[in-house]
Amino acid sequence: MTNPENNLQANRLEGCALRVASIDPGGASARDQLAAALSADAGASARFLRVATVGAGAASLESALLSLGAPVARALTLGLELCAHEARTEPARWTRPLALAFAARAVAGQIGVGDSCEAFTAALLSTGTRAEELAAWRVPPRLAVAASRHQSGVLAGDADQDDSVWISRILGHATILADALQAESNPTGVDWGRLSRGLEALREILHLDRSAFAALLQSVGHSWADFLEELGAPRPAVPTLECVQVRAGDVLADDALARALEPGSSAPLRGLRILAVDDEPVSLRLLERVLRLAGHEVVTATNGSDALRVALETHPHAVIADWLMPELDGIDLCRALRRSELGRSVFFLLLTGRGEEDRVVEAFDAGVDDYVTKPFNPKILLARLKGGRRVIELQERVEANRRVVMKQVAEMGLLTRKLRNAAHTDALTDLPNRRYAMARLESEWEATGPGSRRPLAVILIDIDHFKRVNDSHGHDVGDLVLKEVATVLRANTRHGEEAARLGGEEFFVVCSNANEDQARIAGERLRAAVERHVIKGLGFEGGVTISVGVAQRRPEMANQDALIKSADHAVYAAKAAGRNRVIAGSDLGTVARSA
Amino acid sequence: MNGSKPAGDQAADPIDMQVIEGLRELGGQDDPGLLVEVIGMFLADAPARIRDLELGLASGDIELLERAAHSLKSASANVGASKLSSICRQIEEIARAKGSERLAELVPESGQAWDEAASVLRSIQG
Repeated sequence: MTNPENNLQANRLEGCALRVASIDPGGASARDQLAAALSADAGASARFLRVATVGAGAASLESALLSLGAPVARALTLGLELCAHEARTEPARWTRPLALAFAARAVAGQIGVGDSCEAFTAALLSTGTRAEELAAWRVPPRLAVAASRHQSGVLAGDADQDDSVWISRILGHATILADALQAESNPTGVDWGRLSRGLEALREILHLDRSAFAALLQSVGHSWADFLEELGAPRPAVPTLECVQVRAGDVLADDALARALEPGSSAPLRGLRILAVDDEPVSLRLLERVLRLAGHEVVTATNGSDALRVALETHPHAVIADWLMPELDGIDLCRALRRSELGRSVFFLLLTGRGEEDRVVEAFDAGVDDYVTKPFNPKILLARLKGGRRVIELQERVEANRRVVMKQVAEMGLLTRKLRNAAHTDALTDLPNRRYAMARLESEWEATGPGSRRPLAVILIDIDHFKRVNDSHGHDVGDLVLKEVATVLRANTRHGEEAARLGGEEFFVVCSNANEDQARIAGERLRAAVERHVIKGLGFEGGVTISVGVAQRRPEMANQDALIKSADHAVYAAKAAGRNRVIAGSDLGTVARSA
Repeated sequence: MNGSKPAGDQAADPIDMQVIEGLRELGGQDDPGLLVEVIGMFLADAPARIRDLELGLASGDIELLERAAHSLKSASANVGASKLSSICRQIEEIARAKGSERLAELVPESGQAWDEAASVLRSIQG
């Protein structure tokens, strides 16, 4: 088309990639052209299937293309072939993109948001290509937007409600995993503490226990390493979760963790807040004085019940209490504190009289951390407190760390829920999107297996001469037409019929519990409604028509792709017969059966 | 202080002057009244405990005896009244074991020790 595009293609694309790049992603025969280009190159089709058929077993090229849709499949092939071509000469250039891609595929699969192949493709392209290449190669906009957002390090905000947001989020999560994968091969400069915390947050987001998360990291790592190896690149070392944590442990020992924590809680404790409890005023006065002199903040209480109240009000780091006191004694106070959320982490030092040492076992059983005999020697008391302070600081760090992780988890969890909706909705028309439609069809397919008496039918819809509308009135009018048709479809579908937009000018209706005749009637209802509808706006006034293909599940169909394929043939026949009509699979006789 | 007796013979001394020195040091520059304040607190609180000891012995209220002895034991130790503290410890141990032997001797001894300690402390208080 234009010179820059040709240059770019000449620069980086060749062989299969070059053929794929020349396919119009929106063209009617894009899927067939892609299938032809991939079939002609055994390496390319193997690579494509390897990524596209995650967990689905040995799927055919055709069904993989069907479920991905031509635009995404085309972008994925471009990315993979570019990578395959360049990895031979410049393996380092594709280590990162592939790590991120396999990580994104795993994260998307685990969260259950969106399509894992789309996440893989966006990840691969975001780190392996330049923004201008993404545009020139006509990568689907949501993938290109997510990829360039990731390239520029911009986070998707709440305001970004388009279809690319979920991909951006997944790329964000996947970055942590990709960092972990690469950390072992290139350990210098890695912030292990940060990496370990990131992995911990991700583990929470993915709702995995430690061993399942470790297994996920391993499986992603091996897919990544295997793929690189098959491309002829050196096989990278794959780290285990344990090895990241062990290295992070070394870092924990110094102050890296404290630095990473929130300000305030991160500063090492200078003076502790201590609750001193004694019913004997002289001892209490002296205790207070000793502690203040050592730089601590002191609150006091003269009996156990008061102490409990003061502790809950002032949240002390440590409690120093006399054992024998009227009402609530020191041990009962400790037991009561240990039962409360706050009191579980407090450092509890018990003051015992001489002759009470033989009972300290009881004190430790009650949850006391340490004891000092009275009358106390200030030096010994402060030394014991220093030991306690290490425990307190460690607990503060663990607690602060937990808060940081929980905060991240809460934030990301909320986004994930929002995104789950966004990921299933077509941004332009607000109808469910291809992903949703395919998932819905799959569950219907499973529910109506052999032996089921419930029929299942689908309706495939294509707007007639849509390209003509776009070309003569512009894309804004084209978008308006899509929205209006979507509205008409939504308004005219009935219970059990769910309309979705597959992409471009293609729509899809799953008709649960309907046979072909019932679906044909529904299709006719929709066709007539669209034909009647007048679209007005943006200086445009007029109508459009739709070609409708109907198909019912038949025993000889191996999977849901065969059902779609049958409806696809019917739409093709409707177009061939002059458009604006409904044709069912059985009208085609043997054509549908051979699908 | 007083410079009168050598340190170490604590049991015989009504007040261990090392403890008093320790309290003076603890007060230091910024809390010089600590020693006097603590002695004042002790002098104000102890008579009630002494009365509780006598009352407990007379009425056979062993728990009152134990509580009073426990409290006076640590309070007196804090101001260096080692002899009083040591007597209180014995009373407390016997009372805790629900025994009664020697209490009739020890309680009056504690009264004596208190009188001696109080007079030294009042002189320190000035």
